[in-house]
Amino acid sequence: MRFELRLAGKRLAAAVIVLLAAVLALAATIAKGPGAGPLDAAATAQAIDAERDHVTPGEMARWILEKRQDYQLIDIRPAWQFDDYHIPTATNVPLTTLFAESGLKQLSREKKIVLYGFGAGHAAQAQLLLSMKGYQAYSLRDGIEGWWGSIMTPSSIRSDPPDPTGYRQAKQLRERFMGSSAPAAGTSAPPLAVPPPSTVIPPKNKLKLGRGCS
Amino acid sequence: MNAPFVASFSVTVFILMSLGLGFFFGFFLERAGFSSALKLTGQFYFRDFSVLKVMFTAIIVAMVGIGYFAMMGWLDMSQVFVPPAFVWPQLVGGLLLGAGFIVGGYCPGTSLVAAAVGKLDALFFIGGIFIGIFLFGVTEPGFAHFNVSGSLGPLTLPVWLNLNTGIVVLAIVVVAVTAFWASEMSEGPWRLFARTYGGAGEGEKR
Repeated sequence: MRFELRLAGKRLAAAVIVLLAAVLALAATIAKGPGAGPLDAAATAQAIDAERDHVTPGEMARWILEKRQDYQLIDIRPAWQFDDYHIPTATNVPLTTLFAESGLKQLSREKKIVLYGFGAGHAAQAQLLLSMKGYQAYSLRDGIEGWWGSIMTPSSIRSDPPDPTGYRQAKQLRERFMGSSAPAAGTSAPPLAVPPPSTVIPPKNKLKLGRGCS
Repeated sequence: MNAPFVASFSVTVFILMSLGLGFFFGFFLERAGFSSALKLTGQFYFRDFSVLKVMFTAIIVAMVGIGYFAMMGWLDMSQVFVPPAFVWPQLVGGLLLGAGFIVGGYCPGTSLVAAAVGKLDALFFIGGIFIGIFLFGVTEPGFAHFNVSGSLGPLTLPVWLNLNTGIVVLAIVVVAVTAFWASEMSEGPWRLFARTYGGAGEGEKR
């Protein structure tokens, strides 16, 4: 008799946990449906102030080298600029199509969405819109300019060269990405001095501005 | 609400909470019988599925609880630390830990529980843990390269499978409950099977 009761208790516990999980799954499916969730403006402002809304180029470089799978890097520039040069692992979803059905279909709600444009502005605006739709959206700090300035520019010609350790790390990163992502044809030029030929890449003196806002 | 709620407590409260949680964790491990090496290793001979049942229960209860906390907005999941995955070293490390578990009769947590209730073999086991940590520390530079191989970053099942978190939680709970059912079966009606293929039956003198 006692054995029977214990068995009932176990079955009850099993039923309860399955039911709770089913409710959770259902709620998660509904909550993550197409509707836009409310965005807490005060909390968002705090996140922006604490710089939790973006990823720095250094972090991005590390994620790429670690082959992390938990992010999606989205290039929101027009396709021709993307074809000219883009950050490794990036997918091109131009801003004009990002919020169309075809664009949103490419974004995972389970991954960090890191957006970048040429500078910081458009990506940050798109990031807010995506957050309102319930995505874990981030923007890459200073966009492709920031990436170029702090990863791809040789430390020696930067306006704020890093300390010796940082210098070595910066050099390693630059060499890794120069090797893996140099534009395809006709650019055997030494990567040290010449950025890939492109209308997108700003002139060198502008790059020296480093983290300047654009 | 922008941090997993730890940040909203002072350090003292946080430490006291950790102490309390640790105490109850140890207490309930002891209550589950996990201070006995015989009981623990029974799992590996398919004699006693307590380890699977207790640990898997803890996992699904915590998982569903965290799911609800996140849904209610009490916990910001994006601020929760997810340990990065390094496939190869973690595979080898897991096998090593399992082998040590079978040979020594404890896992690190249960050895502390057993020591707390005065088991001498557990003290030797803990000595072994520290020797192992020391040897690892000394030799690690020799295989540092291997130690970071197969890096996938902080990967979770929903991201890896590209599925909704709620669906993954439900699937794991169903797998767990099925495993509980199967293990109860093998301890009861299927004991003959377990005795034949898994060594001596529960309660049988060896």
